[in-house]
Amino acid sequence: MITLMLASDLTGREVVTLGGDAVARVKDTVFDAAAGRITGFTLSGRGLLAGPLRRSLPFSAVHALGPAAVMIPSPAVLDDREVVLGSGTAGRGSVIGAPVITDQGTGIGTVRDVVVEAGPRGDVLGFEIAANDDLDARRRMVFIPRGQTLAVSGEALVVPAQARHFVAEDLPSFGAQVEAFRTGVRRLQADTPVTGGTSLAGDPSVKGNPPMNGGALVNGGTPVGGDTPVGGRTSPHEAVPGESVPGKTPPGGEGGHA
Amino acid sequence: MMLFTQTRGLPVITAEEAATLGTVDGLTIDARTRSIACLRLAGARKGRAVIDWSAVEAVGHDAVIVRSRVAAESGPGDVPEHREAVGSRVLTEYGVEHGTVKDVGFDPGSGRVLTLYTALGDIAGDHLIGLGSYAVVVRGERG
Repeated sequence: MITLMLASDLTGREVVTLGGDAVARVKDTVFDAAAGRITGFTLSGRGLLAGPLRRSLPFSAVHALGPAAVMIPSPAVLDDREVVLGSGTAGRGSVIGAPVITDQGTGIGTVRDVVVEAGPRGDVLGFEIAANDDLDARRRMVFIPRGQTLAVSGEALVVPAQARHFVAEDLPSFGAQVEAFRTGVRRLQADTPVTGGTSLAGDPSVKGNPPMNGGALVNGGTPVGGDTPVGGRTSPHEAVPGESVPGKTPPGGEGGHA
Repeated sequence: MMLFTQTRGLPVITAEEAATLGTVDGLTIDARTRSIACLRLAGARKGRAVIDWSAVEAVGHDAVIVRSRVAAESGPGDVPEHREAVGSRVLTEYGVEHGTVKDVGFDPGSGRVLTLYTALGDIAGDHLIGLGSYAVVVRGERG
């Protein structure tokens, strides 16, 4: 089970030592240049009128990033601001608001927020995107998993054209999607014939099968593709020919590679 | 096992002089040893208002017995700062909230903290990591 959080929700979160003392609040979250990980936090004081602190928190010193607090071993791990801010200048502060463009050159929205994983690692799992008309006629907020992005910088987020089939509408279903996506990647690496199982989603007769992770991807996603068979493009490895499940080959066909 | 709420208000009496030193105001937990470091007195007429746990002979349902006035006044050398555990917010080490401490169960002989009672369930005393001004921190599950 992955616990997901939005980076904007981290602002104001208490920084608490394992000894039980609150020492600061999170002011801003700083990402590395590729927005793949959190590199640290700038801090503000805890009082009502407290301003920014001179010290900051490098993520390497964080014990765990939790839904109620950022836990640190002791106040001694706080470091000078430059240590945190200096390392991530390229992507600093500008990921949010960056335009999202597909590798086909279509703008599909702007980055609204960054989705991070709770726990000790600080991994960025995806992005919340304010969709434009081209991605979604209703201009909803959608989520795109990080594994689907090609490149991120302060200026733009480039995603493969088929990434639009990975989008989710809310954080919980996005969590399920990320897990399904990871399972899919792992299966691909294992390179078993079962990998083709994800293409089951393209087969109308089994589309409603919840246990298949390919099905979860489609069910959790927004059907932006209209009437096109979504399953055919749900994940990158679908494009590999000859990976279909033998059972779904039309009768009289080549019989796959079974 | 005794509870923190049961001990509050008990008279503290010396065994040698049978003199009442005051009543129990609260117990101070040392999170490093996961046991009680000292007890604080309310209404102490003279001497120290803090008695080291080593001077405590017994904690009963009706009174706390201290060895002697001298032992009580020798005082603790290195007491952790008092933090009220009961009523404090509980956080796991992964930054997840776990209600507030309703009561603390302890072994009256050794002074070890046995159980933290919260509205969201009991936490074993050996899960205690820290007790600070903001929260009680306990070992916890990921997530």
